[in-house]
Amino acid sequence: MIKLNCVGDVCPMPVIKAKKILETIDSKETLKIEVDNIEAKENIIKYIKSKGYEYKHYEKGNYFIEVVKSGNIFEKEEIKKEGIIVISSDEMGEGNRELGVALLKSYVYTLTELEKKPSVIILYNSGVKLSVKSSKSIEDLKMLEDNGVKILICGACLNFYNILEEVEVGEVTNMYEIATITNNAKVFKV
Amino acid sequence: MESILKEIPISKVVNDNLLIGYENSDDASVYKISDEKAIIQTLDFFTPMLDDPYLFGQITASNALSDVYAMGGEVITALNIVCFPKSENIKILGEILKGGANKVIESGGVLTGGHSIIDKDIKYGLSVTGIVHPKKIIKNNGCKIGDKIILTKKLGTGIIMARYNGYREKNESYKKAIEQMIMLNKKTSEIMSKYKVNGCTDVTGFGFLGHLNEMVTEKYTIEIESKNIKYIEEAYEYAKEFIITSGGQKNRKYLEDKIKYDIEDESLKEVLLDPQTSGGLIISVEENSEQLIEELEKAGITASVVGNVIRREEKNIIVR
Repeated sequence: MIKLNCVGDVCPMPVIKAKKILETIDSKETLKIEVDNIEAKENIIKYIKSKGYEYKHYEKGNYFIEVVKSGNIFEKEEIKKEGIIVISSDEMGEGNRELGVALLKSYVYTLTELEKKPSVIILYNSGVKLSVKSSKSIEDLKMLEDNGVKILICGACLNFYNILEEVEVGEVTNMYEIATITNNAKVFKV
Repeated sequence: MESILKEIPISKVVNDNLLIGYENSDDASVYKISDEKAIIQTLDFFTPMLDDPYLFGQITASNALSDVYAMGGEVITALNIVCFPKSENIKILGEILKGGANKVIESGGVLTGGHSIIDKDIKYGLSVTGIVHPKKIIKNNGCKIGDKIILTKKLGTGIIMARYNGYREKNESYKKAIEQMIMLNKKTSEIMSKYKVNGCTDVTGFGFLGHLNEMVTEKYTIEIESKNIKYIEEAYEYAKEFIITSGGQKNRKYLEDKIKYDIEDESLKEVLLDPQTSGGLIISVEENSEQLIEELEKAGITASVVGNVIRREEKNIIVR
């Protein structure tokens, strides 16, 4: 992986720097770009999209964008053998709600006990409520994240439930990333 | 910026002689000293946008002088403002000042002095004084419904200079941009003074659409025919590759709810929003616009009718 630090740079420097590297690197090589302003992030993504390159992005203090010119290395990197777990509700199964809520709490706890943990947990619809402070599973999810499990939370859903500000774990994502990651992957839906 | 300015105390004394002051977002302040004369004062300075000190001096001076021309005035005097690092070669400063001085000479004004301090970055600019007949001041926003909007010089210099700073290639587009930036708006201003001009401003950091927006009041809307806008072609090509400036993004966001776009070409929008250094003039002329264009072109100035002042619609500007 090649790293490109564009902290302190404003447009168009990050795009120009990324372009110069992308024009010369091997098509399977990943370039990881770090920027500190949203305009630079947006422009780099627009540029990458216009070229049809594969990418993902996330926010951790600064904005990070990882891009490869061809291939689907992100799937290989993230999915590995362990698969993906999708939690689309704040209760497990259908029936008595009290039981469903208790089952889900127990399920997430059990994941922390597993030796072979999932690579990714995706939260959407009312499942996103697990990621906020008042959630009964918040400590378990944090522990999973500390153990390298990637926790992706649907941003649109957080907005819908108006709890975006309360998120305490994981990364906020979008449908594009959810669809990319779950495509052809081993997915277990709770 | 606006929010800070609101907090700054200003003299409560009503002064009839202050024709254009603080509260107007105009190009310069204008103060009447007699029934025949008003003085125009303006100040502008920059950090270098390119690595050629002589050109930097020329561009900065052209930009500072431009505010006087946008008010319909003539330059009389100018003072230098200089910040320069102790560690830098003083010859660089000599080149900057030479570039600025030559532009002041070209303007017909006199360079009368200045002030310099030691600083960690190079900064250069000018404070310019001009004169104008108080009845001939051209404000930003005096446009009348039915006026034609004329734009001089080609757009796109911001994108081109930003690309230059990334690639350091002195290619054709770079040369075209420099040529635009070191051209004074003096002749344009002289020619337009012969016509019935109701509004004028110069295009700088807020881009063509940003400065056009400052010409609009709640009484009218300005409609732009984007196909008539002249720009340096390479700027459009670069915008297509997302070589676009941070300033352009800020302009785009600021103007979001003030403009109705009937075009979908994002790269063209980028050119219209591109921050310019020492850009041309936007002129709102009541009659004989074609003749004005002809006269400008004869003087070697790129100019075209780019829009109309129309009855007020919902948005300040419509881009077709």
